[in-house]
Amino acid sequence: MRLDAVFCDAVAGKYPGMPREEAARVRQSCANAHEHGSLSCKNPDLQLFVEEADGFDLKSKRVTGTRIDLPRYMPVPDRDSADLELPASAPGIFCVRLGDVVPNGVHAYEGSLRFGKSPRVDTSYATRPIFRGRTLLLFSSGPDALVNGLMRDRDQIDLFNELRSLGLAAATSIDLSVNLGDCYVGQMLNINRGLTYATEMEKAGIPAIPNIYAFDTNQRTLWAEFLVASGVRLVSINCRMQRRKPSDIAFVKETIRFLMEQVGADLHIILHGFPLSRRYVTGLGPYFSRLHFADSAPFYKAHMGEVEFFNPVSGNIEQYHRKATDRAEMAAIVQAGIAARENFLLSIDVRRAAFMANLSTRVV
Amino acid sequence: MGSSSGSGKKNDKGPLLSPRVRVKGSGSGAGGATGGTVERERPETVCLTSFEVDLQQLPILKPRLPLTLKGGQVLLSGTVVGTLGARRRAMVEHCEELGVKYRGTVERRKQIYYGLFRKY
Repeated sequence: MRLDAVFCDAVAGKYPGMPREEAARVRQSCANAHEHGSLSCKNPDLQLFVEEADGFDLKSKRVTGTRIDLPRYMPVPDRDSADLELPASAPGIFCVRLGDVVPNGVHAYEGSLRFGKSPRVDTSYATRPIFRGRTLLLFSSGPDALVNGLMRDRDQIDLFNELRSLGLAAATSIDLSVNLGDCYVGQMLNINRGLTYATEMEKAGIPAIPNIYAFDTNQRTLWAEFLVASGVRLVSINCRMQRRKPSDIAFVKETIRFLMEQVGADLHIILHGFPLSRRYVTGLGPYFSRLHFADSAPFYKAHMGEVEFFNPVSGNIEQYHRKATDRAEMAAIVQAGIAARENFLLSIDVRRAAFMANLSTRVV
Repeated sequence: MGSSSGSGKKNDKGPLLSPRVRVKGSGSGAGGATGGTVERERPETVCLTSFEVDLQQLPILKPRLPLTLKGGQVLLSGTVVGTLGARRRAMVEHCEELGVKYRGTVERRKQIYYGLFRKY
């Protein structure tokens, strides 16, 4: 156990119901965690955070959730790509991120990002060419400075009513930091604050999709109990910070498996930023029909001058170099990236169907 | 954002912003009233943990000698060895009102002396 854990109230057992063994994984001092952007048991304004989170009980949050027929793959364009005109064959649902919807939300200051002084929702963003004729989902994610600032100022800037004017089909609950190694009190508060954000969003008329973070059995169990009790059957998991390491992806896959097994056969999960390669999707087969993938990779790759295609021989997405010379060519490269992802996911479906058919034949 | 290895992207984070104190009847629901909250200003959100100041390269400067701040000037044993910029001076004076003080030392980097001030 690290020295930091000795002074943590969750480790000391002052919060009944919080597992002390998991809490002892804290890797920074709770005393000054707030100076480094993390929420901890020693925060000078802890009571305000507890009030905002409406306590530590997930099941006390009244979130209705939503059920939308989602395609297997959904692109997430960045703001620079919003003027591209994609063909009608592209998916009917696109996703946007909070950082692109609130473009002046953060600025650089002394080597880190700070929340802007007068952030506004760009209510015309949904009318950009790439979104025409398409349904929009909002991922309420972005840099910590942005999501923390919007969480604090949501009433001042009339955030939910402004977001509603975008005509969103739904939005995820806000993606507040839940990091392994942070104070457990802070982790649980941010999970609960995310749900209070979702309830307020629903009151404003925006269907909510709870965004799930769970790093241990206790948190997974709490989420499963919440989903069963509330009837919410569409959730999201932001994997963008997990995609760097296979061990991190293993955490996500364990959470997916746990929730799919515990909650029921009608649970659907949107995976934001999950790396699409055969290596990583291995093991998700039994739940694959209920998983939906969203990422920005086709746009990022197009900016980098990489044309992607699905190689049926290797079973993976591969690429070759070609820099776009104009916006029309850029749109074509983006469309190729989207098609590569759709074909990759389709190949997994086909293999799984063949496997199941083979299995049933053997049983007969 | 969440992460299972480390505490996310370090430069994504500024100081943690505390919730505003909500007064009764505030909140934004469908057609709900806006405003109705007040921000309690916290030193963590406005006062830097540390900052550096350029010093005049005088012979009296030696590493680790203590520096003090007075009226926007940087003093070493009563001798003015540097001056704060307008923004930094405003921050220091504002933080003093919030109860945060700074203590500095002379430091040297590549043969150039500078002042390093930290909160205490």
